[in-house]
Amino acid sequence: MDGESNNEGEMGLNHGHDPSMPLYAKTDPYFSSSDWDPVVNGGGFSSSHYPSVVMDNPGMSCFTHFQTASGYPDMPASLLPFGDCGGGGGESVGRLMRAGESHDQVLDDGVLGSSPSRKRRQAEAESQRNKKAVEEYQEDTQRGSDQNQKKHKDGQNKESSQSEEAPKENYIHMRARRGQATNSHSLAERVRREKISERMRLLQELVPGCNKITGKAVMLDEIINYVQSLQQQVEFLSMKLATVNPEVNIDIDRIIAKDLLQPRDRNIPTLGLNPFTSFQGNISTTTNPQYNPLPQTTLESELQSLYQMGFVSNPSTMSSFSPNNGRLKPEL
Amino acid sequence: MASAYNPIYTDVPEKDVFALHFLQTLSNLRTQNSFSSPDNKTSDRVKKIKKAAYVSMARAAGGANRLWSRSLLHQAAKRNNKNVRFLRRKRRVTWLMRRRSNRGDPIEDVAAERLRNLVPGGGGMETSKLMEETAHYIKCLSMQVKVMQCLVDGLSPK
Repeated sequence: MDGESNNEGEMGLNHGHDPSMPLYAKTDPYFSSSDWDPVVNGGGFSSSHYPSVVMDNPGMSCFTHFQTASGYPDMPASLLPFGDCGGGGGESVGRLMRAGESHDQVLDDGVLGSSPSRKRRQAEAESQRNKKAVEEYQEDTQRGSDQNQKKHKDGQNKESSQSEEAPKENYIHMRARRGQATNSHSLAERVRREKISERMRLLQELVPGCNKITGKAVMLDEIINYVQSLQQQVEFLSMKLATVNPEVNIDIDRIIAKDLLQPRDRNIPTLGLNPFTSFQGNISTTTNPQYNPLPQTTLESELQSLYQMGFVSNPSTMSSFSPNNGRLKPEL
Repeated sequence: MASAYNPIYTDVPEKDVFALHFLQTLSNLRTQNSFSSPDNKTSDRVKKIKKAAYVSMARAAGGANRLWSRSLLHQAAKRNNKNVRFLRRKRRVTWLMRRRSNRGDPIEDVAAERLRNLVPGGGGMETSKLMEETAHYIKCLSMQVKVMQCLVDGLSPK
């Protein structure tokens, strides 16, 4: 029972004590208030056995009482509480794997092993995944062989209440698909596939012109082509730079480097004397040798002005830069 | 945490940071070579600039925080015969890592292999992690390309 007090502190879900419903009904995302029937007690959640437990722990009550669940040996595979979701879901899935072997053990681990910070961090991620999992669950309730009755009732409850409660959940759990093997391997496989598809979507946004493509194979080919083209661009540009560079004075590089340190307004690149004069003013007034990160410049305008600057030799600027030479990193 | 939290962390610094690093590296190149300019064959300079570009990109993107940047810097340092030591991040041994040789779809495996060859440091990663790295790598590459383009445009005469 130590884990419960722990979780209570971290969850911070103080919904108050509603006498009409047990507390776990309010905190459990898969409960719908309208569906709450105090007589039936929902699918699988029997409050009659554990009244004290429910009242004391608003956060994890709906799951903690599973610890002593003796009347529902078949259920836990579908309703596993996961307090610990660290490791990017890996550890939680690890616990999931063990669920296949020994239910009660896993429940203990899942609740007591929770770590608050990681759970909060991963809550959103897992909630997304859980939404997906639950959606899949919904799809799968139609097909598949029938499991035990309790699971079925739980499925009904979840379907009805998933839409309104899912975003607020703070728990991490993976649910086995109905009609699919609750094998540790297939569940883990499903998690992995979801991760990969999630990242595929991320990459899809990055690569231009890939919004219409569906399908992993084509998408991956596109990504590979894009990366290759980017690398080729780098090579091409470095070639260009190599040809352009020898004619330009070396000092310009230093000037550019120093100038980029000056805080400037971010504006549309302006040609002409304006940036030139302001640039001059900046150079003469600054003598601080430290490198300030993240200057606010537009590179193009600076380069234009510096280009003009490069042909106007400015010995005063060079002297001010010399103490900075030693700060340049010696390695490549 | 009700705010939209993207679990995949792929933020990339501003263009200025990349520019700064790149120019620093370039000027280091210059000082190293002691101004031996026109005699150099262009290909050598090209290679050096390219290497500088990648290394500066790796540094600008956050040094040791990303696997690809780490491996890039490692490679570069090896060529210079320097010992670069990175702080070993504590590796959480998750089941994902244990199943490095995983049975995925053959389609995705083939493509993942190609991606691994492209992205530096992709050899030892799981597919999902690989894709994270790829996303970050793409962002940094495009940033670097922009910087270099600006530089070329700015420095090229007429």
